[in-house]
Amino acid sequence: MGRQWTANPPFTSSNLVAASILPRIILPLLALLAMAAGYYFGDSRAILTKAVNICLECIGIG
Amino acid sequence: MHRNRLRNQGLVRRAVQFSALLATNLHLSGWVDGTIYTGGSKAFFIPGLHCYSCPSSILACPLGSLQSLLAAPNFWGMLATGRPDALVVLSVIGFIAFLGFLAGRFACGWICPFGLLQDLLYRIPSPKFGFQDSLRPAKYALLFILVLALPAFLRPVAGGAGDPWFCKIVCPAGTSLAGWPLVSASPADFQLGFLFWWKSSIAILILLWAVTVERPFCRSLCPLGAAWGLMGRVSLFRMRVAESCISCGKCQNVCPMGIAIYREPGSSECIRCGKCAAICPVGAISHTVSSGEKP
Repeated sequence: MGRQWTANPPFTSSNLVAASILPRIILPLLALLAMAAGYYFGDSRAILTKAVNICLECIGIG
Repeated sequence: MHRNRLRNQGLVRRAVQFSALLATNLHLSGWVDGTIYTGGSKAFFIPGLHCYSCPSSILACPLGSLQSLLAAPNFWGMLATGRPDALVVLSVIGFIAFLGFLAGRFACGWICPFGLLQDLLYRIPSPKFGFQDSLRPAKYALLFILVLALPAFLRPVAGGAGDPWFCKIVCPAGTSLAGWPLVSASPADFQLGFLFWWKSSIAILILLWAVTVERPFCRSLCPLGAAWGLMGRVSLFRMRVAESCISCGKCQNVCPMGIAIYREPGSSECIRCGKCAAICPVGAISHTVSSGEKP
């Protein structure tokens, strides 16, 4: 069967980004770093306080 | 043979979804006594859309947390001066970005409780309909307007707190898995007004929609899926289509998100469920952590 399409068009900008393995390793690492920094430098009680009390907006009251 | 593979793959995914549901909802007594969990684990996030006011949830909703932090009084001032209660926003942004850059919408397909609920609703025998692709961009609008812009910048009173707008006027997970059980457990404790009935109507419509259309909320309205989808374009873990693909279209027929994965392996809609890989008659589709390009 002759092919009518290309599984991964090779020269689009998004494919060039996807093809490069380095940013795809660095980006999750940077995000992990941000998460760790958030917990280390931040005060997680700000999250906890909201999460352990009934969220009136979420349940449609507030 | 491929049908068997598809069924087995479906069973594995369902087992993972239910295990994740159980692991993140250990406070089962909350459903009986109408309370929510108040332990320290709620400073950490669930990889999916699941309200932290759900009686059994032991983790925090990343979207709800993000909105409530952005909506804090003088959030930007506190962030500029490095106040810890504002800096903690990095943890939720980092959490969402980590999962997104790692595997795109993988959590939607394998972990998210509201995704599982929609999967189960779609199994109810009923007429089934296709999905209007023109609705897909709505989730990006909800992400940027209701989750980010309005909570961060709209203040009804100058210097006061904002609102978590997506939670407040849309989120069907909050209504169905938190609002309804809590209100039913102790109706006298809540004064139900317009917002409750508005949100209940939206939730009912979405749940009914999910009976006839596969994962309609994920496809059109979920802001968390939108964020993960954008990051999924460059995620490490992705789908790969090999040169041996014969473009039979079977993958698109079984895809719960309706994607032609053979044309667009890096689709931002892909939830990495793997049904396409299981059904492919020539084994051309696989998960990969390599480039996603042709072998």
